[in-house]
Amino acid sequence: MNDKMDELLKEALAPMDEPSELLNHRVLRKGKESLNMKKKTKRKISAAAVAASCILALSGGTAIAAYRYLTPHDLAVEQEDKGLEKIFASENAIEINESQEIAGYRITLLGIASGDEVTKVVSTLVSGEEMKEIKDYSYTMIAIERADGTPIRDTEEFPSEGAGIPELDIGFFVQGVESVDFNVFHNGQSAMGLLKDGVEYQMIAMDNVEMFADRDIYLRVTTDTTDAVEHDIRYAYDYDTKTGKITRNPDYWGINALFRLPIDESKADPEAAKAYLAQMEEKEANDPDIEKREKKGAKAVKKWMKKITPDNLEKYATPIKSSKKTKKVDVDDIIRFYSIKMQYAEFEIQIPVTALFPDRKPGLAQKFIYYYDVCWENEEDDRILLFVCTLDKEDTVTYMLYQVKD
Amino acid sequence: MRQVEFESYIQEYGKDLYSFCCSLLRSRQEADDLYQDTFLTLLENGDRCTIEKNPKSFLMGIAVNLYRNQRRKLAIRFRITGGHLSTDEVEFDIPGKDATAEEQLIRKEQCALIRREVEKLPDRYRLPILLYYMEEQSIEQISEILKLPQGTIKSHLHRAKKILKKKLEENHYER
Repeated sequence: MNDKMDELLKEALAPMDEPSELLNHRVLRKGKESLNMKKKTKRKISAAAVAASCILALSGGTAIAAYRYLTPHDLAVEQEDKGLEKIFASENAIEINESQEIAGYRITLLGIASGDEVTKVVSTLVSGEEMKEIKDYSYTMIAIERADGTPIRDTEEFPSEGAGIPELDIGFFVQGVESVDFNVFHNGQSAMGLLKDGVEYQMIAMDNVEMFADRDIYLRVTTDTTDAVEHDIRYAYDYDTKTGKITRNPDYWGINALFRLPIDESKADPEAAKAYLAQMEEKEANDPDIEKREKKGAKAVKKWMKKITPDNLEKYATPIKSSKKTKKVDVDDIIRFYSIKMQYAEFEIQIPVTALFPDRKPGLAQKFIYYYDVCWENEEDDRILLFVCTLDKEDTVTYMLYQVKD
Repeated sequence: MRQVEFESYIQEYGKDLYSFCCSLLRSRQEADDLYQDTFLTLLENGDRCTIEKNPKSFLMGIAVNLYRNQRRKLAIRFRITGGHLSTDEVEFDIPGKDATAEEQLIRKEQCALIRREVEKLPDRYRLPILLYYMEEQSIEQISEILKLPQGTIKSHLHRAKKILKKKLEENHYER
């Protein structure tokens, strides 16, 4: 039997399935991102609401009761990390304690320190308990809590599928650098997270940014609502091509905190900075055309973000009725839609319900999520789509895609 | 690993890996995820020397590990929720053969039956069958990928083939 059976098995099981171009594109993009940053500083946090824009300020910021939080030094002690303890006890450590309230969350930048003490940072991001020894990084500590005071719940309480919290992505921006969607410093090496008394603390270790100290350096904390963080970053922040300044986009649908970091200017190293940027630019030059088009498209999208409101939606956009879907809000107050199919792409969305529906008031969402839908075959067929949600009294969300009229 | 190397692995082994993922997981979405996670794990953990020795085996090993981990998690989840695994069917096209129309039709039916029956095999038989016939891995390579002795692999392959042959006979296809 063997020869014939072997032949049949080979024939029947010959590889026939090919990954779609879109899937390969997604893998390449994620791979590229991973190569750029080595390990993303992502950690899930729970969330709520859109709205309240905040004022960016170097010192003072929004007045907060810092005593309520652990200090970076406390966190290092709590985690029994002698390296971090030493770094945050040194002269290099800067306590900041600046808060921003966005989308129902309060994000507080507690402090930053750079140093070359070898330190252990527990990465809970990728494999759960991966321990790494790292050095010569900038360590930044933030606290995240619900603005309404409701404690963030431990995700362990929700064993069912889908339970959890929206993802935050953290990185640095540098004034005057628009390269890679001005997401130059996305080089989070590792992060340590701790949920204590309903507050989520994150210690993020990233490439030392001191070389850029002669420019403004920003720390950004951004929701990763779609499956590509670049998508969110493009829309969440504005880059001024004249001054090189970076600001929050008030029309963005999720969390887009931005803190300017007070780093001693004397620590700048222009040569090292130049070399670092050259490397980034080289990578960006090799971007596939489709990514370049997505970036260009994002600029067009931003204009519509300012223009379209719940009141004039029908004037500027046409509903795609076949796209309509309904889902209950998840147990952790997140709206999650998977496999949202568009004409040319497919993506998923995760966003806190209160980001779109402040006070959970039923009706049409106050903000729309935008997507620049690239047509692989023909650039002229690229289009701008809006992800429009409505909420009913039973906490059911219905979404429908709208296409912006030409 | 450099970007260009990563791309070349996707180019060279993407189809083989994707077919393997589709055979392991009946839902296309799950297969897409496994495919993506396999390449990203390669990027994250792949030691260049090990990869260069046998890239395809290395990739298959990652996919098998991820698949096994996922199965473990699913088993727990389905115990909790009482749900069922996805039964989304994946459509296949059958390669043509030099034969009469009737023979081709029979062959096509046999191939379809084989694929359906392979899907139903327990993992201990299904994984070696897919790695051997679909991915053309040697017994030695499969032994490394599955971390089982070569004798066990041979035994599982033999048993799997017997099961499949029986199924063909039950359906009146003599082999």
